[in-house]
Amino acid sequence: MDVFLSSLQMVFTYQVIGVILLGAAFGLFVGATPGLSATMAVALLVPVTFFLSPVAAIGAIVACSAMSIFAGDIPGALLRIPGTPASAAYMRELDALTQKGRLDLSLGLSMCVSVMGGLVGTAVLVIAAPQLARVALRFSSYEYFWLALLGLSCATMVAGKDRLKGTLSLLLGLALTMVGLDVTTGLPRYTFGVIDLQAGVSLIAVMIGAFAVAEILRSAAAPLTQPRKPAAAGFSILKGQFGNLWRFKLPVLRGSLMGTVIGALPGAGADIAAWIAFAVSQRFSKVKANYGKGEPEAIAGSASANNAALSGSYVPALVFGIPGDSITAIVVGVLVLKGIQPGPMVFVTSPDLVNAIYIVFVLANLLIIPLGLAAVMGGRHVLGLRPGLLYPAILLMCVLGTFATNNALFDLWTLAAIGVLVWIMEANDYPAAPLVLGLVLGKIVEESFMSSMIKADGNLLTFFERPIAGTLGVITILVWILPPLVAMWRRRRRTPELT
Amino acid sequence: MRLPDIWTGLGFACLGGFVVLRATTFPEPAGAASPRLFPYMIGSAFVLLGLAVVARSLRARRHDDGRLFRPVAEDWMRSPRRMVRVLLIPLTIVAFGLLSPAFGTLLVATPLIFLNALAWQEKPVPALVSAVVICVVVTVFFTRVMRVPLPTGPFFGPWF
Repeated sequence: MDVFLSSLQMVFTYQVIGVILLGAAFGLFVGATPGLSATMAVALLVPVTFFLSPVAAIGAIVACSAMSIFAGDIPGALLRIPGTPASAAYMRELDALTQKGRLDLSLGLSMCVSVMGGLVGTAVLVIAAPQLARVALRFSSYEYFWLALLGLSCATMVAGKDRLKGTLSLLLGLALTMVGLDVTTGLPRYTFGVIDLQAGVSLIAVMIGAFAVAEILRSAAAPLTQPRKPAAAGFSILKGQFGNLWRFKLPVLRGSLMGTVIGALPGAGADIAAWIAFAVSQRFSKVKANYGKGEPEAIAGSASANNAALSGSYVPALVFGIPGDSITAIVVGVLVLKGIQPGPMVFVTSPDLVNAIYIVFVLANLLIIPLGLAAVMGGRHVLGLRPGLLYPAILLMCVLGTFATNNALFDLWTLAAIGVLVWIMEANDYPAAPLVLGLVLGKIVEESFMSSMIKADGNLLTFFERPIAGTLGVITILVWILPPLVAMWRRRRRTPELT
Repeated sequence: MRLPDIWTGLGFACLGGFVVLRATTFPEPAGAASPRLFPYMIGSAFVLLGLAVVARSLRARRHDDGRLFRPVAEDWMRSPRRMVRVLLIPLTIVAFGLLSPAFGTLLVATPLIFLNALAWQEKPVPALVSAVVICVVVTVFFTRVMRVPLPTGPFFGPWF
């Protein structure tokens, strides 16, 4: 109880609440702007969090990401353009309801089920994380090595349509972690005599470059579209939503639980959760034929899943220090920069911090209603913002934010280089998320690998001797070899049919 | 910027080769903890997977209409406006890095943001007004709220 009270004290300070509100407002703005993603919102926040306490930093990130995922529904309903990829799955339903003159129902329902999804996800996080942390306390470097490798391997599977290219992107992230002083011997590697490279490649510069500068470049290369001012919405969106929540309780619960589980899987984020939840909701629906024509049940099933996935993704990040998606990769990076290594020991050494994170999650999800309402009412002005005002402002925030963290001009060269590199990579189907996951996890992979090698005196079989390590090792190897084997087997089966 | 897979695959394979070659120059202490080990693994994986992308691209050659090695010109490359917009983004970052220590954040950022706003088809007067407002607001946020010492150039005082 003392720990809980101390956590409440950590959260309910002027600084933390103020930062949560500002982070939430920023998330709403970015999420409601088509073309800008929740990950970009979080990446732009990182330099600001650098100067905050760990609780305030996490509070800002959680509030910003939760709000931006919900806010992605606003342009979906008003303009038929998803604000973030997480809203794309059910955008047709939002738009069809708006076309029927039920803008209040589409936005009100998506807002309320987002809150429910986030709260269910938080409940699962509160229940599951400490149990898993107890198991993880028994982990040695072998288990950590396999767990990090398994997380990275799974991330490449779902990061893009081409697994080979996803793996190359991941390798690039891992290669960037080798720049700087070697983790075991302290010798400089790939620094080419540049003093700035001795501390390694700046994680913040890479994150902002990959998720913000690359996104600005993508928008710059696309033809400009002049935004039109959409219809207005107001308090009426809250009318009848209690009844709707009761009516769609089963799809909401199913979507929330499914979203939490999918979010906890490495590599699968809010957008995948929403697509899968939409498909499952349709599969079990009694009104399948209405899907695609503005069916509120479809919104209830999938809009709850994307917000739940956000909470779910914090389970592996908090318990093992292994981020499951790009947002939690940024969170883990921020905590490491603040001297806190996420993992099971955090539950022992800083239980107040863990509880504070739970409280922040509840608070951020509850704030969706008042702030979301304000965003819906003001959304038409945000959506009418001209690109000539929006993108130069974001670019300036990227430049000053990157410089601000280390006061190093060298980080700006990293920012420009990574921004252009990721833009080119993404245009060639090399996804950006594995690169950042590789950069965040690279040190853990190498450290745990090297300390395991020292313990095992170079004997690789020792990596499989402990039961959990052995199981994780076999699963990781299966994740690598099964997909190509299955593809080969399918090709062989198809060849005789063709001939 | 869409490039043929054969180029990107070869690029990654070459990068892998460089990572491995460079690792051979690292000193190797006795025991299993060699600073070369991880780079060898990552470099080799780069070479293998990069060559796999090349091989896959070559295998698909028979279905290709001769554009295996030639990059395809994209829409934005044919539009001077869009090309300027794209090029201006990395140039803005580099120019800020080079010029701000000498001239200060505000003096460098304002014309750069003005040029960017023009490239995004903003009219000159609104572009100038927005550039001044954006630069002052963002700079004041970093210097006064976040207390970050941004480059001030020849100017001094709490607002720079």
